[in-house]
Amino acid sequence: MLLVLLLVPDPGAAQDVSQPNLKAAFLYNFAKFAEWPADASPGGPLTLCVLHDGASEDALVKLVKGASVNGRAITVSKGATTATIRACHVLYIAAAEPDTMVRILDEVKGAPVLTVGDGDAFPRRGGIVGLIVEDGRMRFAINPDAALRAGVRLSSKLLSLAKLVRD
Amino acid sequence: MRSFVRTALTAVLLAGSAIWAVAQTTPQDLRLATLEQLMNMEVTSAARREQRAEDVPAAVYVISRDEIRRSGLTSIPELLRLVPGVQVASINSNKRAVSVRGLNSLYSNKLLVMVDGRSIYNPAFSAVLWDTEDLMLEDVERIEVIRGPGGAMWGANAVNGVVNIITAPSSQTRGGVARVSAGTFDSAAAFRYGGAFGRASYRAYVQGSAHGDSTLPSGEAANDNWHSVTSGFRTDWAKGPDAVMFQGSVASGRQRPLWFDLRSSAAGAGSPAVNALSETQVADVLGRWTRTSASGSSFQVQAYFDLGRRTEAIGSYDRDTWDVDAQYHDALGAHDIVVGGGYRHIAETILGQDPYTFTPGQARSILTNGFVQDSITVGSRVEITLGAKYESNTFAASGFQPSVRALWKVAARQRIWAAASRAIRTPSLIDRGLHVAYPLSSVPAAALTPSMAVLQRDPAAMGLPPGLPILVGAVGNPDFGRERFVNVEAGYRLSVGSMATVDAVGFTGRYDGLQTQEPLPPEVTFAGGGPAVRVLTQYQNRMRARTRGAELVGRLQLANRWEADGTFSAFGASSDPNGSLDPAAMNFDGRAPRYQWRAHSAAPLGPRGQADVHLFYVGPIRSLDVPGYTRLDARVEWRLSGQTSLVGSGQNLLQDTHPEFYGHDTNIHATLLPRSGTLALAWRF
Repeated sequence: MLLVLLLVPDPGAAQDVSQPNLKAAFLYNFAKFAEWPADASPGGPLTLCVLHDGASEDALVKLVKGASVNGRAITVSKGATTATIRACHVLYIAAAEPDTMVRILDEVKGAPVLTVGDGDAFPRRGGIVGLIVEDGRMRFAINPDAALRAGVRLSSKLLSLAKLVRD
Repeated sequence: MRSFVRTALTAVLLAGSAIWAVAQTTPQDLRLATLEQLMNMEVTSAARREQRAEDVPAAVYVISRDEIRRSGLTSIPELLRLVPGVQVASINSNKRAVSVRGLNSLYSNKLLVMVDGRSIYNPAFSAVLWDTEDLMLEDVERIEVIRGPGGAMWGANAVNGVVNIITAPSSQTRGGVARVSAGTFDSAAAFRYGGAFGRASYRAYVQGSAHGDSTLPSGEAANDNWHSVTSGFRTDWAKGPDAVMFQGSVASGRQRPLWFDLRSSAAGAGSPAVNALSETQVADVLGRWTRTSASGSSFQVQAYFDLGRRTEAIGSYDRDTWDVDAQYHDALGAHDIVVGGGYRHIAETILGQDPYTFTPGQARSILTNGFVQDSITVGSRVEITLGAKYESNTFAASGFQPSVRALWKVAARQRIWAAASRAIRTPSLIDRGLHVAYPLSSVPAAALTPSMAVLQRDPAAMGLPPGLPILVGAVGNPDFGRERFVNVEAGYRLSVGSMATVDAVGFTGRYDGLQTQEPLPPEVTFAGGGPAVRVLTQYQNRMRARTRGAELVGRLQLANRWEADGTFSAFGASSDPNGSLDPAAMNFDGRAPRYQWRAHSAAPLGPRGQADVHLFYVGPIRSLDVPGYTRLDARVEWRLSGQTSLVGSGQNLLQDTHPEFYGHDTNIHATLLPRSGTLALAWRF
């Protein structure tokens, strides 16, 4: 509750989007531009999961309603827990303590999960994509080795827009 | 055909972009956006609109979680040594004097301290009693320290600064942490477990700490050891626009504060310490509900209940506080407005033990307040913030605390800011109702003030009838008024990429109505079975003072993971006694050192370790006859595995023992603080 600090909206900005909405849009796009060759059911729905961020989860549910990606339906697996996360195609882990981050990445090791986290510390620790807010705009960093290990193929479009990171 | 499709597509996208120009962008609208378009959008932080630290028009220092860990320090007052402009002095093992920009004392009454928005400033003593707060630092997300008056936002008693200790949301502290540490001076054991169920998360913790004896000037142990046990919990729940937080804690502690034994019948009158135990118990619960709308406006209501009990050699004190606060935040054109108000009910009982009495011994006060803050954007680079708080207090006069601030974004990574504010400190139960009178003969020789020394040698010189026992002491003043402060400050910030930052502040302020102790005419009274002469001083608001200073912070990040940072503080004060006969008013240096600085270096030690070295310099406090000192701390952390780490730390490595403050004005023995070392093992699961 740091009341003294107030953000003044930058009058130069044309579009003003809330973080959860923007994150949901990015997660949707990651699902659009990735492939899961090892997928058990290649025609089945794509499952997106969010951990520790109710606002982003709600925004994602609204965003994907009725949408499909490459002919596949999209569902958001609500209330994902460490038991169910290996079944997610895209897993977003909201800002976590480094130790929690590492623990969750351990849980999904070996499973074809496109892991997304906050900050470029996330891909440095073995996650695949890290969402960064720089100068008021959202960017992302990708760890291509982590994607390879997980068996997730990222399109060259994603890789070209990302900041590449090694762990 | 292809060009038609392309034109149609462009038209759809342009139409789409028209949708985004509207203030509220729904998630579905964003589905049409390309990645490039998404990367071009301005993000507003959803819940609390947190501003980047570089854009705050105030002297703010944030002690981050990482900085807390790397300091090797285990208590809040010790951590405040890292902040420029803050004076931290240990009086003895369990008593500390902490203040911002001078006027330091055990009962430093110009600093407001809060934990998650709950004030831990003790109204009766007009001070923060640090020995009751023993938070588990692993769960503290950050400590924000704002130097300068915070009255416009935080109300009375935030005259020189505000410290806001913010604990991490329970959603970020999942899993368990167990820590055991053993040292030459401090030992502790702590355990926390956090988890989640559905949309809610929780954590619960328990921590016990023990601290050893400091050293008397004679070299003996001071027997001022103390220990405490704290336990608490926090839960957080969020769904859509609503977020609810609920937390509580209980703590109990035992200390030996080393009060002078001033009882007329004391067998060991004048002896170095009163080995009486002091006990404290505190308990609190706090709940907060925040609702954030899609446009970013937010509404928050918070309520807490807090009770405390202290039993000391000088008396006992009970307090319970009820508080409800609400605030609303929204942006209207170029204005970003926060409006809020609160209601607080405090019931206090204070019962003195011979020779202390307090009249009245009870107080029930109701404080209501309203505040408003408006940040106005002027052009594209300037922001002016106007704020004011009005407070009504049944116990003391009401007060108005305004502030004006401005920030100029000179260049992409440079900021200049300036602020002018007024703040007040309200009188306390002690200011008004204290009465303590004790035999002059019981005062330890080292604690005699010059006038007391004259009284003792030659009472006739002071016009007193010879041969009668003399009582000295102090009384409160039922008409004691508010202390007032007006401050002007300005600052400059520069960052060079992500490699270096510099933050400089200069300030000057004027105090009015500062507390002094004025001599009352001597009177003959009846005490201890016969006549005696009482020579007392009374609290009055006589002194005026001016303070000025500068604070500098620098951070540097070089090569791979090596970081260095440092701070420098300069402080000066002068007074206008304004008719006061209090020697302290004549000889005023603000009870703070002229210069303080610190330097810190952090570097990795191989792939598994980390080493931090801290060097501090604290200058002498001339008016209190306290010498300056240089302090060296070091900390090494070694990760034994993914889950366990070993930490070795040492404090005050340069000297065997050293003094930091004095205790005469509060009748407490000041001792020497020793060199110490601790080894800790932490396990996360």
